[in-house]
Amino acid sequence: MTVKIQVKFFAQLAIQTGCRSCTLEVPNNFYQAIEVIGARFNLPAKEKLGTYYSILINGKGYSYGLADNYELKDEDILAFVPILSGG
Amino acid sequence: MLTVNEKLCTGCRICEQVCSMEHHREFNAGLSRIKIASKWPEEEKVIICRQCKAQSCIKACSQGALTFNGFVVLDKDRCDSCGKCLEVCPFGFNLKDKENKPLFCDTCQGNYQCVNWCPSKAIRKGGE
Amino acid sequence: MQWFGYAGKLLYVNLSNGNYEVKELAPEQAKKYLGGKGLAASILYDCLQPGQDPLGPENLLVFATGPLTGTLAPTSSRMIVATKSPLTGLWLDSNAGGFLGRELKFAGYDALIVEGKSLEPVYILIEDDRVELRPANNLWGKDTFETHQTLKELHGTDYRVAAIGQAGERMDKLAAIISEARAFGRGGAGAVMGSKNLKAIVVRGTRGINIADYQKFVDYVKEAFNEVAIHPDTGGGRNHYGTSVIYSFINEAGVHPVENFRKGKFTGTDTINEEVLRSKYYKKDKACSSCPIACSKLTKVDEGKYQGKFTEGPEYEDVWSFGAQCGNTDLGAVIYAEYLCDAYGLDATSVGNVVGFAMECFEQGALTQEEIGYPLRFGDTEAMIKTVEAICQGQGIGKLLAQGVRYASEQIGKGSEKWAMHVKGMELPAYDPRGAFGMGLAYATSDRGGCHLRSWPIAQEVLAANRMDPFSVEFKAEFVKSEQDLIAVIDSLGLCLFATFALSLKQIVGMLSALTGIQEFNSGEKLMVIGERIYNLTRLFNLREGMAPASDTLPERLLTEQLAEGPAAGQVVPLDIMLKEYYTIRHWDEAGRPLPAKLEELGL
Repeated sequence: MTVKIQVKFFAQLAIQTGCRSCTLEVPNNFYQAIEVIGARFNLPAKEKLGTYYSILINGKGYSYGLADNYELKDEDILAFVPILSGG
Repeated sequence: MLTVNEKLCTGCRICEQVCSMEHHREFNAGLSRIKIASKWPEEEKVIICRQCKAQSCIKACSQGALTFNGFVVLDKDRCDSCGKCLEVCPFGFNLKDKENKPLFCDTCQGNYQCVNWCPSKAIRKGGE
Repeated sequence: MQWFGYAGKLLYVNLSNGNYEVKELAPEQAKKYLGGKGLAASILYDCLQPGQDPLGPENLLVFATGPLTGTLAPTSSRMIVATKSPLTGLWLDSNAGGFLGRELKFAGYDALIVEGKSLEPVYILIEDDRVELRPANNLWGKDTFETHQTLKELHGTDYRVAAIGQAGERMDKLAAIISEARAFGRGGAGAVMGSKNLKAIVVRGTRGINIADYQKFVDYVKEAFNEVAIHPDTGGGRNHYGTSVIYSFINEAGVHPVENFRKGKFTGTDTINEEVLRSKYYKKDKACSSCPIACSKLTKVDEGKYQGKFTEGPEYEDVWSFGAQCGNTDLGAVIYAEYLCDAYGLDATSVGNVVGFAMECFEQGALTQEEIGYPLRFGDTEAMIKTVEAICQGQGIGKLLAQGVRYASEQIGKGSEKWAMHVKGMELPAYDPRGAFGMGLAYATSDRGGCHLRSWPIAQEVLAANRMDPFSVEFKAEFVKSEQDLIAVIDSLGLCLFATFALSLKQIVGMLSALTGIQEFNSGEKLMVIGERIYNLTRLFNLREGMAPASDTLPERLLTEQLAEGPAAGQVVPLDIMLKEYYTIRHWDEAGRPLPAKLEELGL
């Protein structure tokens, strides 16, 4: 099953992917979705998760506690954020 | 030969620190053979002997204190601190030590430490 | 004693009688307090009588470097200025990079301590051993740009300068000290300088800084440079965008305060974000001494109303303070507002905060159009700029607002105290703790009041990959306590906070002990004890100045008013639980006083 979600990239990830925001149809399983997004934008999505970038789902932080079968819904916003440390 | 892109220079002066550390084992910008001069907020100016082909400095020296051996070599005993070598430099190189003798870059025995350490690649070896 | 890293000398200048004295740095003092913030805290605690007027001649102004300042250690540019703050009436240390710290060290001093008050405007000229007071009557009334230019033309471009603008001269509580393109911004140190009739400090040094273990130091520094270069923050986003790199993201997470903390997500981000700043206004990277990150971005407005105005920045905090805080969506106006603050010598974070406060006062009817002179609504860029100009020029409503939100709200009354977003008198910066509870505890327990630079748990709550839950109180007290201690160390070493993003304490210890050769600095544990000692000493300073225990708190809005929308919708900060735990972990009593056993353990 697939869902239509909004994908956002921040800071240098926006440059790297050439995209700040777009709507994509992806598998509803979170982990499969980021694989698809990673392939689409040429990001080593899964491997670098946590060391190079992290993800917000609807503005809230993805954490390692997210279940393997976590399901995304239509209109969810997935924000890819490079690891940043301060302002 | 050194090439300099002043647009890339951030003015961090890591080159000054590295130069004095490499030559004198201390941090002392006054002993450095490279200097970043800036008039904020304008662009930085990188002051260093470029080891250029013109070698006007060597020609200008009346004491025969300067020779070229891949870089400009100063014979301190012959130098009379007249400063003519610096006056004629087409790149505006003007660094002197406390005895008013010119502080030419000696390439750190070919290691070019300022080039190695420059984080913004504002200064490079010719041809690189 | 042969010093490595340190200069080994302290310069005391007395403006009342024009004398100066050079004192040896006591090895025990260095070992106990490191330098920078720690050294300044020990000097202020020992030499400043409690209860003095911050703007009186008795107050001291301490400029202090750390052992790493002026070396090749990455980001080792920092210097602090410490004093009793006219804004909070409490401890203040304000930290800046640039080149002044390095130059003071080259001149042969770890710190400059300014005492007394001059009858006439003066500036202090330091050229190695030569120390002079020079008349500054011709500089008085000039902005910081002109002051820098005049002094550099007179003495030479190699001379490093720190100066106050007209705001400092007027002793406005939000006055900053500006050193070239960097600012000792927060807490009103510029007003203290003005109260002493001290317009500027001009420094030139030709001495060197010695290294104890040359090869080891070089090896550690090389490793540190590599870490900074490969880290995705310091070597990536921060290097490209400057501190504004976090802008869109903080907003996405719903913790970017909007219109005086009434909302947590800004809708004007099409025209105001890090990408627009970079593509439309960015001119050039700039860096402080020995810094490979180069987070400073020279920006300039090329066309329109604010054409020609420039700044180094604007930093994230100020894109917020003159952006979302005032509802302004014109980035050019942000640059102009920051330019004005630089020129007149004001803390741009606090100025934006106080303008947002005045906007709320106007919309709620506590300030009228007659009192202000024009309608001052959120989102009205022109009115915002007018107000910033009034603050800079000390005119009309600006005269009051330049004294900060706490003082202004006390004068305005009519319930406006509720809208004064400050802790202990210092205006809050650009994060809403309702979406990151730890940040609330960090604000409440910061030793200089409402500031994000003593602990920054929001990085762990919102930014980091392996997060703490932002809406839980768990681990927050522990985290804030240990980060406050760590940052006290960093601020005492002369490093920039940003170095800690990439460097481990072990790497910092490596550089420090190879540089200084001091045994007492050879482990992270030892340094953390020093950090804890410093944080307890600034606490003792504040308690001695009569700080009420209840001032470890947050503005009522953050404790009782829920955010209506965004990821943090429905939240308020559960401060009491965290604070209680924090006191317990710190071994402070219920009123926040360090317990005797803790003080004994720390040698205080």
